[in-house]
Amino acid sequence: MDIKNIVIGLPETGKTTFLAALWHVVTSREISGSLTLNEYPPERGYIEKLVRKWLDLESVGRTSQESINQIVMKLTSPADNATEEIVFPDVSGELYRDEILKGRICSPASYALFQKASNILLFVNPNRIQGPDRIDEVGSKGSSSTPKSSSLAELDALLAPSANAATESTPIPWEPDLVPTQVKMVELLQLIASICENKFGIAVVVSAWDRIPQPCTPSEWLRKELPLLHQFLMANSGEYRCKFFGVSAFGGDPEKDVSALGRKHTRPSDRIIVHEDHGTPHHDITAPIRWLIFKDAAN
Amino acid sequence: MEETEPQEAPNEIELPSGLELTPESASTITRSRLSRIIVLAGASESGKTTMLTAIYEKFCRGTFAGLRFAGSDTLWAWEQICHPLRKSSGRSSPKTERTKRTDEQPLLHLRLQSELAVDQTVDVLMTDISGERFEAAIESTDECKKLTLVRRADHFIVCLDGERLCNDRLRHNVRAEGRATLRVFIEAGMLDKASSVMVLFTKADLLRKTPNVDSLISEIEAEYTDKFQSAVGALRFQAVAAYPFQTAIGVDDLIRRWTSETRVGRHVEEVPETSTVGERQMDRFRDTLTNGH
Repeated sequence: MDIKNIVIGLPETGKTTFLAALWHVVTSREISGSLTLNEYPPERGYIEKLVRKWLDLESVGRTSQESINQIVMKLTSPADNATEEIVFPDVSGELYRDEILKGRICSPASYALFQKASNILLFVNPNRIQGPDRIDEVGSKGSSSTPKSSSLAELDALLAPSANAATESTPIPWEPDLVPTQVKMVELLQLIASICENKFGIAVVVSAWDRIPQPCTPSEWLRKELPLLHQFLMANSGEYRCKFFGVSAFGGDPEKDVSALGRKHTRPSDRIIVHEDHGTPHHDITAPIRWLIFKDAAN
Repeated sequence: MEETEPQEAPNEIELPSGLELTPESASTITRSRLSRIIVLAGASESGKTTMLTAIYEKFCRGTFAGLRFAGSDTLWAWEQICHPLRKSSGRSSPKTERTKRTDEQPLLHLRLQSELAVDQTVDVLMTDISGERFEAAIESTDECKKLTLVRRADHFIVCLDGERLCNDRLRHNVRAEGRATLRVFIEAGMLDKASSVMVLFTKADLLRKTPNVDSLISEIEAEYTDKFQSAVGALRFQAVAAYPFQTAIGVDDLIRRWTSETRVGRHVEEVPETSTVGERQMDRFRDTLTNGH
C-alpha cells in the first residue's frame, strides 16, 4: 500500500526544490545510509525536469496551480531493507494561501489528499517570515536575527502606502495576506487535521538553512521565530509526533554562490545541508522521510 | 443486487471560517472538552477587547503564564481584532477598533495547555460583546436576559475604565455603571451564588500615575463588596493594563485564573460529558499552576 504524504508550505518555501534534491539522492545513491529508489516509476518526466534544474543550480521554478503533480517513489531503507511506495503530491503554495486560507474552501482533489494523508512535510522559509509586529512594541520581530526577504512582493505592495503615510488617513484594511506566518501555518495544520482521518507525523523543514545567521538547532529557531507554531506542535505532540530539520537543498544561494557551490563539491549530494536537533550536520536529505515513514529510531 | 446511483463529484468543500463562534457553534467544544466561558462586561471602550488582544498577542510571542498555545478555532477573528495594533495596519499608533454591536454573543477561543503537563488542556471561550449591549442591559431587563451566556459563565468580568476613573468628572459614572451592571444581572437571576465575579480596573498604567485614585478604588471595592458579595459565589477585584504591551500588568494572573477556576459549586448537569475526568483534570491543572509558580 502506498503511503500518502502531504507537503505543506506557503509560496516559495522550498517544497519543490526539496523534492528535486530528494530524487537525486535516492537515485544517485551518493550518500551512504540514505534511502534509495527501489525502481523507477513509469512516469517520471515531471521530477526529472526538476532535478535537472537542481543539478544545474537553477531555481526549480514555481509549481503549477492548475494541477497537482504526484511524485511516486518506491524507497528502500538501508537499515532493514524495508520498501515503501511513497506519494508526494507537489502542491503549489498558492493553493494553501489562496484556496485554503483566503478562500476557506477545499477542492475535492485537495480534500482527498488531506483526508488520506499519513505524514506531513511542513516547510518554512526563514527569509519569508511575516511577524506579529505591534506598533507599540520596541524591538519587535521586525528586528529579529532572521533576515527578512526583500522579495516579499505581495506584502510589500500591501504595506507600501504605510511607508509614505504620515497620517492615519490611509489605514490598510485587514486581509488574510497580512496574517503572520506562524498563524497561517497553525491554521493550515488545524484545517488539515480536521479533514485527515489519520494521526499523522509532521517533519518540519526549515528551508534555506544556510541563511540562518546565528548557530542554533532547528527547534530552537522555530521556538524563537515562530513561537505560536512551536507551542502548537509541542502542545499537540500526543496527536502528531513531530521533528525539526534545517535543510538547505542547494547548500547556498544558487544565484550568488553558483560557482563556489559547483567547484566545491564533486558530488551534487554533498552540497545539501541537513541539520537536526542532535548530531552533526550531514547531507542526507532523506532524513525527514526516514524519520516519518520508516520510523528510523537512530534518525 | 442493488444498484447504487453514481454519485456526483462533490463541489468545493467549505472550510470553517476561523471567525468568532456563537454559543451554538461553540457547543461542540463545551460538550466534549474541559472548557471555560468568560463573559467580559463593561461600557464601550472600557478595555474589554484590548485585554483580549493582549492575551492572544502574548501567546504569539511564546508561552505565557505557565501556559502554552494548543490551538484556536477563531484565529482569523483574533487576527482581525489585533490588526489595528500591528505595523501591517499602516497606522502610526495602535488602536483597538470598537466592537460592533450585533444580536449575537461572539466568542473568541483559545485552547491552552499547562507547560508542565501535556495532558492538562483547557478550552477558554471569551466573549467579545459590544459595550452598547451591556449599556442596553442596564436599561432593560429584557436586554439583560438576552445575554444568556452570563448565566453559564465560569467568570463574569466587569471592566471599569481606568482612564475615565482618572477623570474627576467622569469617574462617578464609571462607578455607577459597574454597580448597575452587577445589580441588574443579579436581579435578573443571571448571576447567583454559583457565579464567580471579578471587577477589573482596566488601564492600570494610567491609574498608577494619577494621584488619589487609590482611595477611590478602595471605596468602590468596599461598596461593591458590601452590596453584592452575598449575592454571588465569589467577588474579586484586580487592576490590569494591556498597554504598554511589553510591560502589561495583571494579564498573566487573569488568564491563569480563567483556566484554573470554574463556577463556584458548579452543578453536575452543567459539567461536560467528560465530567469526571474533566474535573480531575481541572484540579490537577490548578495544582500544577499553583505549584509551578
